[in-house]
Amino acid sequence: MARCFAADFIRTVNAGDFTGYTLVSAATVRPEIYYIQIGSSAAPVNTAHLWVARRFTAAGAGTAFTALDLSGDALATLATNFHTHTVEPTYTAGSHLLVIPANQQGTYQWYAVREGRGLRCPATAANGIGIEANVQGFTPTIPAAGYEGTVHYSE
Amino acid sequence: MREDGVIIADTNDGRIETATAWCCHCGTHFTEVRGSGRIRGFCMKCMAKTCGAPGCDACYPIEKRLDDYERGKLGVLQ
Repeated sequence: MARCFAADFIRTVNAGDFTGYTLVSAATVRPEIYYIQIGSSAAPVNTAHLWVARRFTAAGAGTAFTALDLSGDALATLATNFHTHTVEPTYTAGSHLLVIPANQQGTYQWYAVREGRGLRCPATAANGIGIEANVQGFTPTIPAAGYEGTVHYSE
Repeated sequence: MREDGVIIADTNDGRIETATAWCCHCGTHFTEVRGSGRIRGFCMKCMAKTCGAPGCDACYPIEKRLDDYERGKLGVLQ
């Protein structure tokens, strides 16, 4: 049975940093994201952009944090989680797995209804899926206010 | 057919829910908007929907793509 983990990330406004969260795979596991929630606790600002989940082949550099175990077996995740990137991941062109148009004043959730139909990462080190802020035309952008979010994934 | 995913948006105008479909070839989740003109597909081998991207027209399931990518047989995973 797949083990499930919760990753809570904080994405502060950071010059040159478009990525809110990355899930980095490993050669021993094929993680699958099945739930994403994104919102903002900052003062309301009427701005719009896109949240895009994309594949990457190089993880870049960010602040690592530990995902919480949801399965209750107290085993650590084999994948790694990062937020507040200082070096952007190397995204694969055209790999937009999920696109959510968003307003800073709204809260957005996505979840896969059926197991096996989430956003799947290959079992390859330094590869994975990142959640990036974009504007029209999928141009990376820095949101006007910070965001927080939660990602649930299984491996 | 049943949806594969759900997007829930809670905004100042209330809650909006929309279903997403899953492409069996690239693993993308997309929304289907009637009348949008976006052409989607359906794979008769996988018996599941595809996103309509040209790279997803031929039957190349996401499981096989992941296997080939992990073994170095596929250069780019989209």
